[in-house]
Amino acid sequence: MITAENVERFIEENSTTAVLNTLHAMTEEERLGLRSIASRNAEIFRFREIQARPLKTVGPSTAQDNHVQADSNSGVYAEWQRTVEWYESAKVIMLYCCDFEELKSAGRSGLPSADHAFAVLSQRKPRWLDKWCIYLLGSRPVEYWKTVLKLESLCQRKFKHTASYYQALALGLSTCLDMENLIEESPALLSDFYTFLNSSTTIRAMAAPSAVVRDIEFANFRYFGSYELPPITDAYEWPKRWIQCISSLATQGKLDRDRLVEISFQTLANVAEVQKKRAASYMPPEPIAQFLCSLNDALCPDKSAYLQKYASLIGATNADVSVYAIKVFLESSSTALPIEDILANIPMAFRNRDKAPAVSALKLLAMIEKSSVESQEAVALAIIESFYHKSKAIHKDAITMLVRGNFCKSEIVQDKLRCSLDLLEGINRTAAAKLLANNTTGASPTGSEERMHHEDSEPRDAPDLKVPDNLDRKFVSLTGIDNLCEASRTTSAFALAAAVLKPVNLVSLDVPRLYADQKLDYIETVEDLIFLLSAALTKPPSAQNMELMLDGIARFWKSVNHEVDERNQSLRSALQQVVPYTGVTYDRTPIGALINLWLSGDRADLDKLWFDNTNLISRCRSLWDRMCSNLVLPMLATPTHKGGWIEPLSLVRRIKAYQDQKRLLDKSGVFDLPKSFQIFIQSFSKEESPYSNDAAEFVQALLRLAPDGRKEALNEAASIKGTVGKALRYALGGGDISTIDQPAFAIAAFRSREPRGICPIFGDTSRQNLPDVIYPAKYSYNSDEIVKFLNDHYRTISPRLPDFLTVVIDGKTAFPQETLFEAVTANGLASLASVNEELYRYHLYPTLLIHRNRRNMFESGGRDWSLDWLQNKEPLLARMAKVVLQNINSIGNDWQDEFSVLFDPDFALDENGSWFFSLALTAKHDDFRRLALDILIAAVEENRANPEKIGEAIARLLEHKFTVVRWTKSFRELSRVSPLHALFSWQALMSLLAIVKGGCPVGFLELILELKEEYGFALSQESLSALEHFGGSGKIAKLAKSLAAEGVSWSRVAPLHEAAHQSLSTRIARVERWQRSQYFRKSELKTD
Amino acid sequence: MPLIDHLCKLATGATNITVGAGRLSSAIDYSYDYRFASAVEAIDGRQGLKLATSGGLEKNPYFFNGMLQNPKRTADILLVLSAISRTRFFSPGLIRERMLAAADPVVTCDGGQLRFEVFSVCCGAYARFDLAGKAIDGAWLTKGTTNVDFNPPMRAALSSLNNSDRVSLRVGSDSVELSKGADTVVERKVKLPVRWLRSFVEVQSYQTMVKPAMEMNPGELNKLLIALPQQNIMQAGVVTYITPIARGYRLSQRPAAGAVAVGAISRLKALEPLLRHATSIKAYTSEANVSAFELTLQEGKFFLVLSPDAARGFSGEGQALSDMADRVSDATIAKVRANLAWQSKLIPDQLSSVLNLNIDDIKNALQILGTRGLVGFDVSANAYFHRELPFDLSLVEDLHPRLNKAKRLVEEGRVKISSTVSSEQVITANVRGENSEYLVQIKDDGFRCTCDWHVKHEGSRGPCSHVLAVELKIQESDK
Repeated sequence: MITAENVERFIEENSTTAVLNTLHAMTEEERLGLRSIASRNAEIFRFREIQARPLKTVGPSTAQDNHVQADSNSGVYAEWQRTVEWYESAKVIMLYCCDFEELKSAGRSGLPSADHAFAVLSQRKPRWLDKWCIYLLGSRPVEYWKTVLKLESLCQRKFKHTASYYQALALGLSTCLDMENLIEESPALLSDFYTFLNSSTTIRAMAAPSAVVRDIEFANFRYFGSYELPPITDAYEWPKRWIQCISSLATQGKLDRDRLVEISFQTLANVAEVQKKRAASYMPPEPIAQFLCSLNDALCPDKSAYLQKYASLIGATNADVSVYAIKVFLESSSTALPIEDILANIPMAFRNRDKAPAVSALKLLAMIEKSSVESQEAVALAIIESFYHKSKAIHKDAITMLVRGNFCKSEIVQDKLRCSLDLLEGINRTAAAKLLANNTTGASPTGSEERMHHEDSEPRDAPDLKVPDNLDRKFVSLTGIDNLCEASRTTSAFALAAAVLKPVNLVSLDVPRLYADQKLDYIETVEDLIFLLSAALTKPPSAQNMELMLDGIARFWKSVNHEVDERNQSLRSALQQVVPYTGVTYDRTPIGALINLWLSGDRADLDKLWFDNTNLISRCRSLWDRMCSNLVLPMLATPTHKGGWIEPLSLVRRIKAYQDQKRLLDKSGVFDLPKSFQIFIQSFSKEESPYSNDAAEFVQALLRLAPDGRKEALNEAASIKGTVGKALRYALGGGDISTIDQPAFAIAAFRSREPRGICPIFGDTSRQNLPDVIYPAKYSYNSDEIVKFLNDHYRTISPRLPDFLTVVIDGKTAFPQETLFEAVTANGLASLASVNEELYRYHLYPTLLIHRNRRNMFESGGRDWSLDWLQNKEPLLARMAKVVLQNINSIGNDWQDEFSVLFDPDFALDENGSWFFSLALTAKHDDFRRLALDILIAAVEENRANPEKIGEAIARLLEHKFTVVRWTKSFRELSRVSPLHALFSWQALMSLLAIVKGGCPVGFLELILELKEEYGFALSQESLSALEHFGGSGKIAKLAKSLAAEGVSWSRVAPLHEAAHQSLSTRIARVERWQRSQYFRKSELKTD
Repeated sequence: MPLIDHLCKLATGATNITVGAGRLSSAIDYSYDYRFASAVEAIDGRQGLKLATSGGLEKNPYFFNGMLQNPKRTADILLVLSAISRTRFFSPGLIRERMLAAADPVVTCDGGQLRFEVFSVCCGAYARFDLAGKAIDGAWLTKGTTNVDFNPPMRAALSSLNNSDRVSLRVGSDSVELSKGADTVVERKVKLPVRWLRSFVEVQSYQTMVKPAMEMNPGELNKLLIALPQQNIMQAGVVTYITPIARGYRLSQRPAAGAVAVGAISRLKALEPLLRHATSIKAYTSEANVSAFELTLQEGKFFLVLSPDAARGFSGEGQALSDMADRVSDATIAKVRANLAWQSKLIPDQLSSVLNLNIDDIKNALQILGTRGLVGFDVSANAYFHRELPFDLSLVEDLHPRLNKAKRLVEEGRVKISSTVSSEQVITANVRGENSEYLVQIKDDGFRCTCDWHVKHEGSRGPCSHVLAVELKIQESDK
């Protein structure tokens, strides 16, 4: 007898069989006496077994390993075998004495081998036997399924047949070569077989045993910390075994074939709903659909009886099922195919993302077409459905079938083809259009096809475009209306096309910017200010809102008693609570410091201020300074109108108000600078002192000065004193720049007056190489930078933007002169002070600072640069293009700056804007690409973009591996908008082709061909020459030859004329809008 | 304050406001008791689609017995409907399985058509299919609303139907027949998420906002949909516009005249399988970016209504309630309710003359009945229709968690009215929340608060709890 005292010794001295027999002989009460020690005992022997393991057998081992081990080290092996048996005896004792919960928590230690487990439980027959069996089947199905079946049979109890029960049976039986006999011999299984087969868990275990075992291993690993499932070597054979077995049982009549077939179709229909998943490369596939197809195939040798069922599976979402169903018909010898059902389902096969169903479906349609003459029209309609598939090869095959079958005589087919034409691209589209044209029966065409054929094939007379009388001459010239009208009177279609697409001159200072209805609504009450500030603490404000907030603080900060006013409690509380978007303590941000000063009178240590946007922070400092001086003055640089413009007269009045308060006077109070900056100023930049505390404000205001109404303002500015007065008057069109003794003021005034000119003073100073200071910035394309950036795996988090539009002056790279920002990244915040100093050096030069290439961690909250310099947006556009390049393959939303500013109808996009479009139209982010196309559509309509420059930019970018298909998609979509947009696309493609010559991707050539066919546009001479570079006899060469064969002739000019009319009307609308501007004088109207 | 009146009535069904903290439950227990499992099986020697019913005015109503004229197409439509009800277009958590259990469609029989209504699991998409009388030939037995069982084997069987099959349709079953042989009672206990229920009743309010914007042929919409990425990438807050251009339509990110704004447009791909059956498509849009698509099919009409964002369900955020500025008495509501008789079109003019009530009151009453699950809204007819959701809405502890929170704020004395400018009707108050203090301002033309929630939604999802608390406080002091 085994007792708690002798259990360990008993195990060591006896075999497992002896232990088993002894336990058999004991009463249940005696066995329960061992319950408390059984678990501990099993753990002891488990450790002894682990300790005794020969070294090489530690870890998952195979029988082969053990055999080798036995040969090489028989003594150790024998010792280990003894401990294995002891451990087994301990497990037997546990299973005999413990209850289910104890066994479950013991894991493997409570689980002897299958034979021993059966021996124990068949004798013990505990009340928790069902639970134990289900638990076992879930965790160790392959080893214990037979034990469970035997117990079920022995105890004459039907356990709950759960999903894991069926799964274990399916897996277990798969391992048996005599599976068929086992099923036959098991009445329980035979009676349950149909339910068993209809379970999705069973199907998976049969079809993808490896995947199921892998999942169980995973689960066991979580529970037990390791797994000991038997290695599966022939899992790929198991599904075949099942199919043979079921088929054989059905053939022998042991299973009802009809029922099996019914189940087979039901399971096929179930799986048909599920899209075929592409397994990750490291995971084995789960070929469930193939298994079910094979099973169905085996069960239905004569498929003709089930043709309707197969017809319903043709449109299955699962590609395998769809292909299988179609194959049934392709191989069928039946003469009575359910053609109506087939044709009703086949369109769904063409909507499958996989190609295989579409290929098979076309074959089936070809077969039906031959066999059933009366169905030809329906077949043709079904063939056209294939245009919804994404594969061009499918389109090509479909068109070939349509041509061969001569189907397009029918009007219904023609209508359908016409409606579906836009689904095709390139040669396929051309071929389909030709097919349609050849078969048109005289019915009035509609849609896109109408455009292709209702036009006269011969050029018409040039359009009669006239300059309306009520337009201002200057504006007519700026918008190119005169040029367009003149070109319309020439006979050259090329000249007309050039005039149609010529961008409006939006750089000129004659372009009006101020409109009465565009005046900004300022904050009117303290509450308004609190709500705006609270919102800014939650999400970054727009540039305009930032200005309104600063202005609000400047005007209202004194109107409340901060000690008592409860209204401010919320703001104070928000300031303390909010995790600011800057990632730093909020009171260290400029706005935070201002709110703090306003609410609590807390004069922050300015040295601690987070230095981000140099000119903006300087302006905050100036406001902070005025608040400390107890002054209530409006901000100088707050825009008066939307778009950031300041009405000159308003600025003059604001400056007067400042001077009345003894501000903005020469030698007025020097800013109380932090020590580091004072040292810096003394050592580097004596000429920039004195640092008037309002200097940054003034500089920013000059750069926002609207061109309208400067003359009126100049008269009123006569009384403004000092350097400020001189600079202001110069900006307004008067004065002499050489008298302005502050370089920063002089530069700002000059850039306000001549945004792209060369500043006549300081020509010899060190500022020469700074863009948009003395010299205007010139951008040069730097291909190496793109290569470097695309190879950088960390590019999307890089603190530095890819400087592919390098600013070069006299052959030298200009600002930023050094990789200072990279150094900061490397050294962390320790270098921040030097960065601050570096930036502070230029804090009065906003035109320069827009050229900074900093991004990410140094640029908080998506800094909006759009209001820093309004007369010249090229640095802003260059920056935007760099941001797009940095995120060209990103699908995240975090990087998207404020691009809606590009919808401004007076925003020129014809220079660096071309780089922005070229990159944005091939960006991976779908929504962003769509936004960029929206901007381009608007820009084309408003004559703000330059097709040649866009074509040129894309041609240069083609040397890198950007996705061509995104460009072609974008241009294709652009062309669909209107003839003007189509002409724009054409011109861009001509420009591109002329540069890349033989390297032009086929997608672009196809698009050129489409546009040529559709609109009759003519190739340019340069493009025609480029086409000669395509040699060989391949597809591309043929395409190029067919294009070149057209020469440089305009096959139709009506679309060009339509584009010309469209362009003229938008230009006229622009002039009319300009004439509604605030300072437009009627005397400037054309009178003759 | 009218706004708070309505909120409280809707939340509690009571006229008087009871200020007190209530515990919010995320789901209620519900049991579908079907007398049999829906299936496609032999009925009278031919294939038959048997739909089991559960709930409503009768326990297991028997609506219809007849033939399907076009089984394949009807099956395709029902499958799409079912797919939408099982789809979670937005997955923030791990409660998928529980949510899926609630997905059985609601069907209303008005004696001339069967209306199937479902909601997506995420509550952001509502679909309705009006199976017209001409597509089914048979006997209309009773009127009412019930749940129908859409189990997986039935769905699989539906997908194997063909047009050449002769298929009968039975919605519910004869009680005599059932008593003879039915032993397959299907009882399914589920947790119905409150959010899902709330969406079901609230979508009616949103539907009244949409206006017809464009009509297009199905091919055009198909072209737009196949251009979308294969993966359903749901960019939070991204609205795409279907914009008319010279040649058809294009997808744009920018509002334009005549464009339809669609939030998380990938959801529209749910309609793809139906487009080949559709004869025309009508798109509806609204300023709130709620969009609706009406597919005209031979079998009837199919509607898909999409919320402004994938992450934003139709969970009754109070937006519609804000619009209900006018008071409407309980008596009016009761009168209108008494006149509901499963009409497929409730016309305010007619009701007005029948009931001798102001037409605006009728409209408001219908809107409130919509939020109580008693009427639905048909965007196509621009009219309400009678149906009573088969769920016991009294089980829902609290439909408006924000109101609950507001009550708690008032109860704990956290609201302090600081100023009332009577001439301009501006009320300013401070509300002390758990972590912060908020400034609230209520004007005649709107409200604002300094809390994050209000800053984020800018009032587009109705008032925040702080605004509601101020309203409650004012009402309390008025008494």
